Amino acid sequence: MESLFFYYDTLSPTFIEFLIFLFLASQMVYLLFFTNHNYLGAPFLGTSANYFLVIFLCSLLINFLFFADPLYASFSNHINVNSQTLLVRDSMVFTSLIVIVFSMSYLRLKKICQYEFSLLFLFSVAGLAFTTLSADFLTIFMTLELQGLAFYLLATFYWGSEFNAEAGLKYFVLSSFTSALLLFGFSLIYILSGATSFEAAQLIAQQQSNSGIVLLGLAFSLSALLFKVGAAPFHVWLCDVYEGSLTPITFFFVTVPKIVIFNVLLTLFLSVFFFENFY
Amino acid sequence: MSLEMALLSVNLNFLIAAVHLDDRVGELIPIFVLAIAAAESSVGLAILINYCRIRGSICLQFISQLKG
Repeated sequence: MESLFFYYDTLSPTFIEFLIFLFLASQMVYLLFFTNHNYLGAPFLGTSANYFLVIFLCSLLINFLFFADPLYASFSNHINVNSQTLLVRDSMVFTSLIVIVFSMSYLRLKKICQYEFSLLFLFSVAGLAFTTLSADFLTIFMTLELQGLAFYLLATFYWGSEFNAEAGLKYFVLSSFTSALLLFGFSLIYILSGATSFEAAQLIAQQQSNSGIVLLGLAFSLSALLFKVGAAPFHVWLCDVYEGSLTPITFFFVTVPKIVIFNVLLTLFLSVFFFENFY
Repeated sequence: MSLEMALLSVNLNFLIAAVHLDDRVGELIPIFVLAIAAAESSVGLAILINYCRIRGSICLQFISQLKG
């Protein structure tokens, strides 16, 4: 019984994410099973999957109202749940719900029947939901990659089009290079602190003697994150990717990941690298 | 390929740090990163093959349909 409570305590703050992954698995089985079905098959499968996704996201939003357990850390402090992350995750899910509702009518208008749309969408939503909760450099990198891999495929979603293929190619090359830069910055911080958690990095960064390498790692990871949000010196890729990919996918790229990655930037700068030594 | 090399060099960085610090986490991170690098290279190869099938070449000079 005690072990059951332990599992409940560990898993309960990330219950939403587990629901998302469970739904993802069931959606995959559903799509694979009904691909060649006579009535539920090819032309309507994508639409029905999108409807299921809308219902699922609505139910997640209902869940948020009752499921607020702030100030919680689990998975040995890799995941941190507080009111800030809950708010960000809530707004992320809400925005993605709006995006999928709008994109359904667009897909119907353009007669795009590929059913992978909801799957890729859900993969990126799962990655972003974990990114909001992550309190650890490794977790941030992993979840940003999960989100990014789905995004490269979403940018090339309408793959008969030259513009889509080119947008996806450009997005893939630039974004995966910057994720390597992000990981390099994290490795520089890891060399000094010997831990990947935010607390250890904060403690190490506050010592005067280490400030050089910490600044270097900060610069690398900062430039990668600024690239991901498309901030000023790294914004050149935005125009090509937004122009080339489909309109609802552009809508998704513009709104949803920006919320989450700005949250990551905020936690990095207001908790980890916030100290007086550099001023 | 060069993206893979960048991720592998970061892996080496983590491993050297793990040996230097005698820490277990640094030996664990490269396993995750290797899996991610494999997934990323497969996705990138798929996008590249699709592009090559449409345009007939992967020469960098001609990837200029979208001009920002």
